Amino acid sequence: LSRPSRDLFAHAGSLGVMMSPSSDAQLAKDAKVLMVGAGGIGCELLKTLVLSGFENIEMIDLDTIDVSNLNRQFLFRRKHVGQSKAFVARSSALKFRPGVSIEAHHGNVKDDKFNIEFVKGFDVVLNGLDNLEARKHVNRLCLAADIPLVESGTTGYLGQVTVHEGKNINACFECSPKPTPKSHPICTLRDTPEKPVHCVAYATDLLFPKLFNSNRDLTSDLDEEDARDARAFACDAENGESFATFATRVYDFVFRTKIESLLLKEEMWEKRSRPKPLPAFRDVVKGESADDVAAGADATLQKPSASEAVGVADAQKVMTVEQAARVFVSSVARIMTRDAEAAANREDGVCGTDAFDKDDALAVDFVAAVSTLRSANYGIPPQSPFDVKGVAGNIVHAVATTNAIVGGLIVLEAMKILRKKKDAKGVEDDASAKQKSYPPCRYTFVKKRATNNRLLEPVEPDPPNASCAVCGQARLELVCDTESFTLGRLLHDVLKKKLGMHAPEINAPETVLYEHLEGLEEDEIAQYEKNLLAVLTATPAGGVRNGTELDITDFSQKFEFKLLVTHRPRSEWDEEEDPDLFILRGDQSAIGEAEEGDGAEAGGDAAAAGDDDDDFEIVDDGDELEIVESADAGTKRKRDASAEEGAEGAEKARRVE
Amino acid sequence: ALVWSSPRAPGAFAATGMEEAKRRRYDRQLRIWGEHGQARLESCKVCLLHCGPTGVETIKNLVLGGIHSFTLVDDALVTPRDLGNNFFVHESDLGKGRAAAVAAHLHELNTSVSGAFVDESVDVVVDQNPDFFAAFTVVVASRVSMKTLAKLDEACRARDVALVALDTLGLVGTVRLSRTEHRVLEAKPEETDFDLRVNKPWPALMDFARRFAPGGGIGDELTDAQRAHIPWAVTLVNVVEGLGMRDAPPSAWTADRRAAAKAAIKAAFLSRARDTPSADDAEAAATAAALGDAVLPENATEALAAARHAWKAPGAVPPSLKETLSDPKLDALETNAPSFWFLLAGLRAFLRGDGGDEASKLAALPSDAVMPLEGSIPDMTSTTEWYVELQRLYREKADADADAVLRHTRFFLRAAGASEEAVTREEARFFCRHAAHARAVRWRSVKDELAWADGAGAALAAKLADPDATVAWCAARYVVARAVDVYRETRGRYPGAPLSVEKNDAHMMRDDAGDDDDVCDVEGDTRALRSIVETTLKEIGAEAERVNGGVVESMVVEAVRCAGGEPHTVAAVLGGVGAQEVIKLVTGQFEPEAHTLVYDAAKAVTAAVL
Repeated sequence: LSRPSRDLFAHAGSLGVMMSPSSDAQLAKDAKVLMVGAGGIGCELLKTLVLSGFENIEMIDLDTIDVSNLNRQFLFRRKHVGQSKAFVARSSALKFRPGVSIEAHHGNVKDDKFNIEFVKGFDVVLNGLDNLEARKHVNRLCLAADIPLVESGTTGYLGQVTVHEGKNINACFECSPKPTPKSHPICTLRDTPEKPVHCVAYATDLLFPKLFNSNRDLTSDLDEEDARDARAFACDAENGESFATFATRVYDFVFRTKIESLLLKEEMWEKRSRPKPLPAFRDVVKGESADDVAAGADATLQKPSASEAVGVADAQKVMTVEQAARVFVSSVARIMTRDAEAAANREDGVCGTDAFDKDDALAVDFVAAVSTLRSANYGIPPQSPFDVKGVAGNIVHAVATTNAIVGGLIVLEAMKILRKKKDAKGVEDDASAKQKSYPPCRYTFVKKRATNNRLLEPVEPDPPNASCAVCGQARLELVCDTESFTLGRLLHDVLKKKLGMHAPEINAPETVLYEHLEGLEEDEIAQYEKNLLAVLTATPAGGVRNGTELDITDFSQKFEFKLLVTHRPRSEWDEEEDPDLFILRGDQSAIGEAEEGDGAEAGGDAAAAGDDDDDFEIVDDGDELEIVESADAGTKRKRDASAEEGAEGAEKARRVE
Repeated sequence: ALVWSSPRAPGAFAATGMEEAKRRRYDRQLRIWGEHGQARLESCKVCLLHCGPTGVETIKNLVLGGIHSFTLVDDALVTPRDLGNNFFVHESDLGKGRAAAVAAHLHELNTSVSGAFVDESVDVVVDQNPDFFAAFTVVVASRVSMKTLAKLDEACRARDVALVALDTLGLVGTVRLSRTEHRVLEAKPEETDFDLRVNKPWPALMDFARRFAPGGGIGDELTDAQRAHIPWAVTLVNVVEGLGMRDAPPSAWTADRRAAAKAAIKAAFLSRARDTPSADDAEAAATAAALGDAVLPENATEALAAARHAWKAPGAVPPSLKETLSDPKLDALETNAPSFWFLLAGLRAFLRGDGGDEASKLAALPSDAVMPLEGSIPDMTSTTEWYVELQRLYREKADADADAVLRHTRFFLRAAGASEEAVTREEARFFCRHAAHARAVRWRSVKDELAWADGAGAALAAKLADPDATVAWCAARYVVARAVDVYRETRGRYPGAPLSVEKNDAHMMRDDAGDDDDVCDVEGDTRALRSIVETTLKEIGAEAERVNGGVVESMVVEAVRCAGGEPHTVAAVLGGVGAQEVIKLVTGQFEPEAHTLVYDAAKAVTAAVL
């Protein structure tokens, strides 16, 4: 195809020192780029890349297409719902631009095949991700492979593009702290909820897995004595109990019996309002049979919407207790029917719905119903199914426009990086020989409106943060009760969940406490698994105690740091304040040193929003505004770290106990 | 000539499940602009002039969002150049009509949006058929010359159609908005504060609060557990009352008084001080100090954190609203004026405290005017019963205020000879909830911009000398873009474009032919463009060498080098911004941009220039 170069990215030279158009076109043509994420930003990015002359593109995405993607992910159509985002994005783009080489991977960027060697095969990595864990992983891969990274995110009308060119050049993605999801104390969720979000979390985190997880022996915080005695969460199918009848039994136990028994614990209600048990199910539905309620207008139980079947049409309206009771029973029966049918088609005969998924309409029905009923128990203002879904799915609102802007900005930054790299290598053609002042990379923030003239706000990239545990030299400190904190919690809750590590190895001064199990001998595996169950002080070679320094390594991320353990006895923890019962923080001494440089305070800003929906890290819909002092420009910028922009803003955040 | 059209797919959203299907598809954006915003978007008819990447990307974003329909106007044929920068044409479209090709591909994005195209030159439609535009809500124009744009703007203004004009020239983009008047009610500012009136309680709120005060009904019988659930707004009402500060102006709240209020809050929750009247500042403060804050229940901590509500001016009229209320339109309401203006007139009478129906036209707004109550209350630790009661009190007061505004509004409706029913109760309530940020935006017309009239020249000269380097930079970009427009108008091609374009293509607006191999006259074009820039600067009274240290000269060189190129990267960004502005104009939500916004992709900056 003949493509007049004047339409290519040919003029990015700063004034007066432009390279020739053909030189930029060549730059894009020769570059190999890796795109991680083929969602909202990914679709825009892929389109802009192929139209900017890029011909070698690989992309990774593990997600499949949902209807709610179609309002912005324009490479997907209704007929593609359920298919791989990466594959469909590739074929849609190729349909329009057949000459380009696009390789699509339907998989997790954490898979072993996408290792450091793999990343080294690219000139630049472009992230359009929606969750912090994957972003951290890619950041570490890029640091280890020494490949520059362009990071991005959008939330509603807000967006940002940041560049991370490598160690010692500028800040890595993790040089600034990222907001992490707030967890709730289990006892609050189980016995004494106070806010709407507690009712939702009870539904998604406690009751949902208890009822539907394929591992029926899963231990749960709901397995209290009275529940076990009443076999409250076990369907007695052998004796002919229908799923609907079972559901009414769960209803009566959870929303009535359990509350009645909690009321007997007088000390619990001294400073709290007493909850109210709901009327028994048969009274709520005026004697209608469980099976009739579950069926509603659809006796087959096949329809994937309980609210529709029982005639609750308006998701914006708060359900009454009776409506919620009906939706509850109908959704439980439908999910169990669906799982049972799926199980019958499997060799092992086991199938469940392991976790809440916001794209599963039945799961949304279930959570909306439970949350409504629970609100009624505890006198908490109920939320509409639409709002419950937003909270349960950590849904971030998203529009095409912001993604379009961000997609364009990513390519602009990528071009700057490629040019800089090429110049550095000294591979200069005649036209670019005089090109020494290519525009410098920028962080760019997209705002809702041009306040003070700036719709886009470019900021000089932050310098590396010496106290960054990932690209710097810092030591981290773990505060916990070493006599009750297990090595397993250290592995799962601290290293994997909090630090986003993939395959960590834990080394005590005298011995290896844990390494990635793949490929190990059986006796080694047994030993490590035993170690995981041990509390820190009881681990081999003397145990991990106050002051022990552990070496933590993850070869897959080439990420290594020292972890200082500090003991704080159980009695000194306030579960309300630190429900996790551990604190992970930068080692005080290291941070003290770092304050002399200008990195420590710089840029807690790249607030890591994610188009899309999944796993956006900020659960609270509060309005956390932070003022960030930009290290170099000295300009103050203010940004909305949370995702609060919705139409229903003000009314949402009330709390009643 | 309308030659292709896809009607709204019948049954695509069939009666059953229609709402649900839509909700699922648009879920993520409903969370931004709500179902009423979506409904407005779904009735929006958009016309696009010129199907280059900038315009097409804009429409793409709108089709995804679910507008009612789009109509594309373009008479060009698809060339290899289009395949290079426009995603919505296929190789198989080469040689076919561009409008038809693009319309078909856009339609695939969202089949509930209907599409049409007109295979006709933009200039011809604007010149000969201005009524064509009456059918649209918004016209998006890209790559349209200023001369044609001025005519188009006039046609749109006469028919109350909004205009969004976009252009990409190399790494520089411009976004222009124009409309006679754009009314914003739901501005959705980033920060809002609740208006709780704890220092100016109306009788019902005062009565409710009194019940919790010592000696006030239930106040003495509460257990500690119950006391810990008194909503903090109630506590503040009682503390203000106890200090004798009800209705006191903010200026009366000295540092001492504020400290006393905080001490009184603490005292009210310390059991030892329960029977002590909180008016006794000294004793309360002493008790509080002795016990510290640690023992305070959560609702008391919340009250302390919210203490500023005690000394903030209740229901103050924001300066921006004062400006809106001084709009001359309010004093000359025409029968068919939008209800927005009648409601504003009603609000102004309410704020003046005019009794009954006789609104005095000349009275100034009293400095202590109090807004109609917004009516929502924040998160507070409370029992459900009390919270719901409090919520009801605020809601009822808000409704009563809105009803009062409605009474005034109906007076103005009658006076203007319009039907009283033109404004409903619901509308008045909705209006009052958002009234604090009501605003009418009026942009300068393109005609005035083109002729440097209505202060446009002076405004631009000022921007060129703006101390903010970004603004001055973008203003210089704007001057060069205007010069390119003049050049194109006279030569029929972009500066730097191959000469063959001029020779081969008689039609002014066609810049689609030509290739890199063709002969260009870079030096000649640079000279010509430079001289136009100098003339332009003279027209507005600015001097080239004094503009930003001679930066204009290098911008001229760059403009010739880009030769009217429309790189997709820049077009994509502009398409995002353009669609966003269209959505603001259509939904009436969020504040739109200024008349002309310049985007510089190399620096990743934007600035409002005019």
